[in-house]
Amino acid sequence: MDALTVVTALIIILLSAGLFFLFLRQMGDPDDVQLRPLGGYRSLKKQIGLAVETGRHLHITPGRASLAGQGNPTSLAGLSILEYFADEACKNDVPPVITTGDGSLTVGAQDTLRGAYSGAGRIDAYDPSLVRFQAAESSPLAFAAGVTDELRDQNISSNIMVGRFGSEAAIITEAADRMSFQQILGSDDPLALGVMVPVTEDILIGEELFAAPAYLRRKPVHLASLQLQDTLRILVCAGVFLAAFYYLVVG
Amino acid sequence: MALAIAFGLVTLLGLLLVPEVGATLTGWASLLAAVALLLGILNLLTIHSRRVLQGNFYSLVLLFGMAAVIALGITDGLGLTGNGVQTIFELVQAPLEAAMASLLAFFLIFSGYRMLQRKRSWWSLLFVVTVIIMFLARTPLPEVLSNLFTKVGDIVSEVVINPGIRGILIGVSLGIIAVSIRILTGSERPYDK
Repeated sequence: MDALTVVTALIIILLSAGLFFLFLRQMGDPDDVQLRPLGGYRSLKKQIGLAVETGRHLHITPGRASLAGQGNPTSLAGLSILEYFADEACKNDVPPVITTGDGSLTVGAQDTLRGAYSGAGRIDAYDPSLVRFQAAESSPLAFAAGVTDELRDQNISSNIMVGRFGSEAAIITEAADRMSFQQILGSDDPLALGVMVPVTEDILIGEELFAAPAYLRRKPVHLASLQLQDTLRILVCAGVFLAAFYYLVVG
Repeated sequence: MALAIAFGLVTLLGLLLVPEVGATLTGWASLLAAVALLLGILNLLTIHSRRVLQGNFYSLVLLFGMAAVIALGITDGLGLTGNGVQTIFELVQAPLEAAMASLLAFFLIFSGYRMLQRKRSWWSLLFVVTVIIMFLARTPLPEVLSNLFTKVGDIVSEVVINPGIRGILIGVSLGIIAVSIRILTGSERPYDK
């Protein structure tokens, strides 16, 4: 890695960390912070009620990106949504069915679910087999086949897929659509987003995935992080416009 | 928490300044991921063993397939069979995955059709029309039509799709930076439920 890249990376990291702490310090009452309405998160909150009313399970999958790989932040975003549902589902006694496409995610999801049961004081009811490994990260279509099978057999009310997927998501979402499940979908992969669009309007697109804790938990750290994300976006947009202007005018 | 932050910072600085240190630490993470994969396989084995007892035929097929591949892996290792795992992959898994992948186009078309039935909006129509144009652009047609659709497909791809994808990927990168800062500063602790 050349010196310029290292220096640029360090500047971005230090600038981001500085802005994050600045926003965190300036944060007032989290309840006063207005967030842009996102249909996906609004619908997410309704799914627990639907599961309780119908007595059916929610199906949640945080995708198939390893926690030890480059897809780690996406999988962590998926796990944070899983954590929210696990907490709510444990309180309402409607345990979710969780499928994963990676071994480390299976362990992470089991830990999340166990934490939720423990937090609800019901650790005796925790069943690790509610988390179901389907296939390794390298076999996307086997993962899709496994998840589709779970959707068919497990008395599901809603299909929630938030994490890293590829085009194999089409097989799962199409099957869920045929079974008339409500679906909330999100991915950081443009290919997966393309196949998700036809089946639902409740889609979390790219960066919206990483805003999950801010929308679901509203803690100051999460809101400050979202503010950082927005500020960085404005800076990048300004950079793109300036670069385009420079090349158009100066050549 | 302090340990996690320290390892995160050392890995980050290692990747930037001393690549050998960063590579060693990410190598450890890969080793843990391999162990986690074994746990995942045990999870799969446990769940499908239960289903076999409940009379699920497909779970029996899955367990049989798993046992066969593991047995072939062992006999390959002992030199009793030659490339057994590779052969079974080429003869069974690769064609099955190719068949499923080839169905993706039909899934998309049917999904688009159902979207139009469910909600007739300009956006739905635009989606379906774009899908049809992109399919036609990559389908062998008479030369005049082929040239036309290829040209339109290329314009859609270059002017609309690629910039859109870049925009999404830039947003994802910014999200990743935000999550990483939360974890590196210990503001978020996914390892401490």
